[in-house]
Amino acid sequence: MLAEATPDITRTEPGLESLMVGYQQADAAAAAGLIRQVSPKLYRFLAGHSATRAWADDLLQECWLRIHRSRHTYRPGEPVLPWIYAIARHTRIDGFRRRRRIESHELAVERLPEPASPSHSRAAVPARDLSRFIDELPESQRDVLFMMKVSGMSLQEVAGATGSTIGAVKQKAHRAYEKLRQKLAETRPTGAAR
Amino acid sequence: MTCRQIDALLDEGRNRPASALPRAAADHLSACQRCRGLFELLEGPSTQFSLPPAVGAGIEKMVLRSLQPVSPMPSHWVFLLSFLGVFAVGILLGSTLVGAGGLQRMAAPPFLALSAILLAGGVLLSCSLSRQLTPGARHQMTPLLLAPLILAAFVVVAAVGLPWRWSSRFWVWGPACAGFGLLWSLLAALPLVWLARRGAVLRPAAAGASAGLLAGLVGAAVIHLGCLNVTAPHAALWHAAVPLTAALAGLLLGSHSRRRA
Repeated sequence: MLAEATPDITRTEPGLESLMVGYQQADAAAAAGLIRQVSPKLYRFLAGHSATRAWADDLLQECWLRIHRSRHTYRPGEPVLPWIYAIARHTRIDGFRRRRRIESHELAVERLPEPASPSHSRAAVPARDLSRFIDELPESQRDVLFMMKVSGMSLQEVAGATGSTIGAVKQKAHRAYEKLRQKLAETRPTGAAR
Repeated sequence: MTCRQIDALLDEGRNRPASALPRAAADHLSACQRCRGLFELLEGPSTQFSLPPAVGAGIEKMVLRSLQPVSPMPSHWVFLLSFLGVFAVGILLGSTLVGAGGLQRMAAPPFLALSAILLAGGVLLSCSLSRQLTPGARHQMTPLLLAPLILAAFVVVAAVGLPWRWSSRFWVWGPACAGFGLLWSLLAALPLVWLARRGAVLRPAAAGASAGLLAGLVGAAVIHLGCLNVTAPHAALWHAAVPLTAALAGLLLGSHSRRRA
């Protein structure tokens, strides 16, 4: 039996658009509403490959700082999520480079870091949770699948957020589907019925 | 229905109830365990992610503290037309100044081919640059591919279409010609940079290279129209050096502005 579908709150695009327009007009309630609505999934998106929760927290703050500084580049009437995720992707890429630079300069650490965010969430979610499987994909495929299946963005929107073409997004998604099929087959209990 | 067709269905959206599937897809899912597992995983209920409350509160505080009204950037059509306007006016003014001697000396096919490349390059770069100003805007062609393509097309057509004659004044005419082209490119770059200054927040280096190349094409088009030396070595090296140098200058400027930010 197939799983029941649940509504995805971030797909209420008109809501996000009006919040974003309010944010541009310095409406405090709209800004707070946008932050509360988008931040949880943005946090999950940024935390995917982060080493520690503290790093993911920093990335989210950095991402909102960039969103705040570039809020004039959002054009009313256009979808909000591709705009936000494009900024988030760059924040994560820059954060990754920064972390690599820091790590290459640090030869020793006093103690091991706090457990990474993904494993933190893994304990709390069901074994077949989508985000857990997505985390095991290569980064480009993970981004595409996260945006499509967790944030509910269309192929066009994902193409915008990733700065690529719809064909390239489709190709990445299809490769990810194939990898997920393999992973699901590996995790399937032996003797499961066809 | 095949597994590939299920993939295409999965591309269409999320949270599709099983009852909304076409009959053939439902039949395939009940028969194929691999696809059924994938469908359940991808179309099933999404997990609600929790954010540490202190982090969310900190972000709200940071944003609200410096909340000021901002005016959104104009539509990308406004930028597109502005960039095209700078491109056209730059070439028009330049050719008024230096004349169109090259037009009379060059054979029609290479002249038309090079003009088409410069024109197409200008239009494509204007489109690309206007989209680079907004995060999340879709690109028909990645800017990093567009710039080398335009430059390569120019060099190849100049090398193939124009006669190969070595002039004793190759090293004298060349720098003078390229220098004038670069000067004109610099003049064209000023309004382009002014127009693009509020955007290009994500990839300033790529936007800088695109703006530089667009300005460089203005310079290249002016010397293409006015230059009396219509030989392949001169055009393929010195004329092509104008957009290449301008693009590299734009790239460096963009990288510098990124580091400063």
